[in-house]
Amino acid sequence: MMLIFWHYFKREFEISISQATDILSQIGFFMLIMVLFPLALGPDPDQLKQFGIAIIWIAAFVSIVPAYERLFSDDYTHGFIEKALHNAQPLGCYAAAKCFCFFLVTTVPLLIILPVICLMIGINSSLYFEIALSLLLGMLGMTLLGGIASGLVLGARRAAILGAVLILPLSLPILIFGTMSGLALMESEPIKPHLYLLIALDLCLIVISIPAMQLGLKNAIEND
Amino acid sequence: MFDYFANPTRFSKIARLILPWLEIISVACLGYGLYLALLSSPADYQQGDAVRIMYIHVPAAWIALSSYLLLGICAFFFLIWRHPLAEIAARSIAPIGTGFAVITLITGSLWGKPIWGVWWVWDGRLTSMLILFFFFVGYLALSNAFEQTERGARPAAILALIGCINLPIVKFSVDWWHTLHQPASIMRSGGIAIDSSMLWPLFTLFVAFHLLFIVIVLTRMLTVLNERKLQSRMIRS
Repeated sequence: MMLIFWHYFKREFEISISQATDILSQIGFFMLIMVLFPLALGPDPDQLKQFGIAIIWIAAFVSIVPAYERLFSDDYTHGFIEKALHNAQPLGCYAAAKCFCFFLVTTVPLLIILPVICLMIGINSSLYFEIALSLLLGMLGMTLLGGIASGLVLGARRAAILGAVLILPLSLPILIFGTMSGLALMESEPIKPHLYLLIALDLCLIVISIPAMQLGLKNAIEND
Repeated sequence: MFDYFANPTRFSKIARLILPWLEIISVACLGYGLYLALLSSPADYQQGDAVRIMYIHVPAAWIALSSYLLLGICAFFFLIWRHPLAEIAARSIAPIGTGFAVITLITGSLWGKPIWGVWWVWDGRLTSMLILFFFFVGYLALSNAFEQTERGARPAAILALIGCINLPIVKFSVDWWHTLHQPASIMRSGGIAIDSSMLWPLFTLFVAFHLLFIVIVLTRMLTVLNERKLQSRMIRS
């Protein structure tokens, strides 16, 4: 099972590296949303600092949600999923590998750019690791939700906007716990409880999302 | 027992038989309840006549919540046993639940303005109701997003089930989030201290709304069944 997972993961990773411009445009989109906030809220450093972590979370969510739609759609249209199903290979394994790879190639660049972002909105750089850790946990959950939604909307009309409508209400607990950890950080309170809650959410989502993705993918193939 | 009633032909026969009776009872119950609530019950000593909004608001909120639960149960039955009737029931419940969620939000807002002085607060209750509404919207959007409507049934059922798991999380997390941000607002707390003169109309409307819900859902289910029958007949000829 692990072997199949790595096989799929390697394939995914090579494809994503070969399409590095996608990763760059993803980060560019994130940066652009970040730029919107100082322009809309005004450049007051105190205010930006107060809303800073919330802004980072919102920008990360909004920039990533439209991307989830193409998580499975390419493999679906090229017949890769159908082939995997035909060869009796575990679709759950495939979906998990796909999500994990997507999570890595979208979140790691985000974390690399994060110190710059923190600098720009005036968040103390000593808080970087805590913010990065909570964001890492949050984005893992988001990717799993995105995987579920992407599997469900395969073959639907206007799948991108539909996927966003499905993901965002489901993502609210992650957003709430994530920004709560940020608030605790700013007020120098312990953030461990919030991180534990995020980890708990992620673990629950791993359990739920793999069968859900499997069902969604299988259903999309069988009904075409 | 479920298998016995889940036969579509038998179901439509029974539903057609009881629907007229249910319609009469629910309309009578609704009329009586509205008379009690709007005319004969006393005005509140603090809220005045604005308290009468409660008689619509509370039953509607109850129906909105329980119809999502019912949606999840139907989705479960459809996914596990592939009962076509469960899918039709879920499809019929969703728009009604959305409607009641909207009624809850609107009446709550109308009630909030004279009592709290604002149309909307980001309070735990209000926010979780709004999110419930979005869950319904997501279900409706997904179940109608495919060229063949039957194709949307299974994805939508999976979504409804996942939404059920998420529902308590949303409710509690919003509560925690709310207490962090602002002090508790003027929501009623500390047990239901309602006088019987107000409890009775509320109870009557409770029953009336439930009956109304059943009537509308059954009617919709019969319509969908007829539509499917018509379609298959058209394809054959």
